Amino acid sequence: MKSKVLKYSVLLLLVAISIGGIYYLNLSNRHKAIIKTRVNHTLGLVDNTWNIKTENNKTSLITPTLVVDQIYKSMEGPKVMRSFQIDSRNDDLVWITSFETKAISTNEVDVLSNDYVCHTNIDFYDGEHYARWNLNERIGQHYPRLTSMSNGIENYEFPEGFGFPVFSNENLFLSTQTLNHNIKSDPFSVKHKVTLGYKPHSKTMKPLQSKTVFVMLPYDAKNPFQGPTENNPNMCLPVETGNHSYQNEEGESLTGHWVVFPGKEQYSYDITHQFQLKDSTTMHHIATHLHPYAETLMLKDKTLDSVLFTAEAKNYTDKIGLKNVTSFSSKKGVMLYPDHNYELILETNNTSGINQDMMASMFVFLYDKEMDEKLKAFKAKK
Amino acid sequence: MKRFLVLIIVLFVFSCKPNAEELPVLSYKINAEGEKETYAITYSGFTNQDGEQVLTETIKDKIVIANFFFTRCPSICPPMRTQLIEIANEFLTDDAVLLISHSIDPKNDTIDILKNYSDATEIPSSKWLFVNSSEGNTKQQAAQFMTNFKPNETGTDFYHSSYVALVDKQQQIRGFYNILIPEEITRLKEDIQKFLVSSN
Repeated sequence: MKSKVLKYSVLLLLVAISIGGIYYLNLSNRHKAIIKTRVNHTLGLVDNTWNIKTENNKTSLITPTLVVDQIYKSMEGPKVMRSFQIDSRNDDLVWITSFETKAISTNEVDVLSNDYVCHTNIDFYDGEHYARWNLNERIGQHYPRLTSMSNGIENYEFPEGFGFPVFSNENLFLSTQTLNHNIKSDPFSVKHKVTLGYKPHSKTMKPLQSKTVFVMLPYDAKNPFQGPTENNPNMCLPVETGNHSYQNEEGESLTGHWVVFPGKEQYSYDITHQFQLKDSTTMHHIATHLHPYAETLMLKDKTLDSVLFTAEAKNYTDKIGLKNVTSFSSKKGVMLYPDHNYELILETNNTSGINQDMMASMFVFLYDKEMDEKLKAFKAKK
Repeated sequence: MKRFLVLIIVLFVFSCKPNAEELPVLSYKINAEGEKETYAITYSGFTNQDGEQVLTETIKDKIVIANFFFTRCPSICPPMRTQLIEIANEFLTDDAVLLISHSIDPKNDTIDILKNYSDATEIPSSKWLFVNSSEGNTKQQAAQFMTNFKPNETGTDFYHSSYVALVDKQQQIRGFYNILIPEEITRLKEDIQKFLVSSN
């Protein structure tokens, strides 16, 4: 009787392992990476701890170890995420003024190539952030992304005198993902080090508000991964992220992450509705997110037929990756108007000979007059 | 020597004890004079799935996990519900822990519908309250919990947050957690535990 139970248990276990194995093998790279990272961290197979420090007006977060065991295109690699505060023990108003992300060795000292940084997103919790200032109508208006750094734009700082005001115990959220377009050798490990620079509160600082604008293109929702589609012969979804898919008011499916075929291409998208400008204001900083094979991303005032900024991307010639993407930064600023229309125009040149994936976003930082008035009235504790 | 050893053991025990004090008080607003004004969560005008009034007294000496939802929600509520069921089960025997889900769709989410929704979770209604009130009152409650909700363009869904708030026994918000992210659920459970240990 005992041996029968044992026999059937072993059989059941083998069947379960086989089904699990088949299921796993059929997963996408992205989902496999999620499972592998979770197993590595849960079982402690690699360092699963975060090293978070706040000193000298800088908060740095060093991630747990991320194992890169194959080619990982954009949005596919091992990633980690967590909430954090600049200083949870204090409740001081501070101004975030700079951002940096880099790939480092597991010894947490040696700096590695930023080819292993896909993107580093920093979000805030808009409920907590705006409710404190009685700006409840802003909650849920925009995705509360403070910024995103990626391969090509790995660090930047706001123009002098500008910042994003937060209380030091306010919840911020970090999500950072690895990338590996080129190395096919044995698995290796990296960590990401993300640093936020901040300044103590000063009445002379001016607040910025982040607005994310990005190119969105139509696709066939019934057949999203098998493009090209009739509507647009040049695109389909490269990965099943869901986060980058949207429906417009006409019920048309749009994606902010699409496939580019070999050769040159130009894409444009009206972003007026993404800006949601209530009043005229000035634009002071733009950080751009592009994928390899992008060449330029232009922000245009359609009403004035005027180019406000063109981000230029330099691609490596001996490997896949972005060497550098230019940023916009201006203390004086450029005027934006609520009754104007704005557009993003992207130019790509896929020289790889095979399909690649693309995203094109700008994190635009605008002077936040409404918040400035609240801040001017704010009485910091002495 | 004995005294010294006892001292070391006491220090060790206290240093291992999770410290709820380290969690900041987050329930405050900057008033018109530019000053921070802390507040405690209050309840008035809400009814739970059993048809009983929910008052400030209901949450007295409770560690509350609060969120906003609606029963027809096609997007974030189903996964949030799954996670909250797990949390409710984990703290089922801790009488101090109470979950409160506020409906943002009072026109549809009647007491009967909330009762059915509650029954489907298989969590006792003493552990998890599903409450409704007028839209205006619910908006005010959302403002106390530092969140907001509004219908989307198509009217098929509401914008509402995937964050839950953790409220201490003094009715002060001590944490916000994005319940759709596993790491945040772990953090929430750890913080609940800190309050439970502190109050023992």
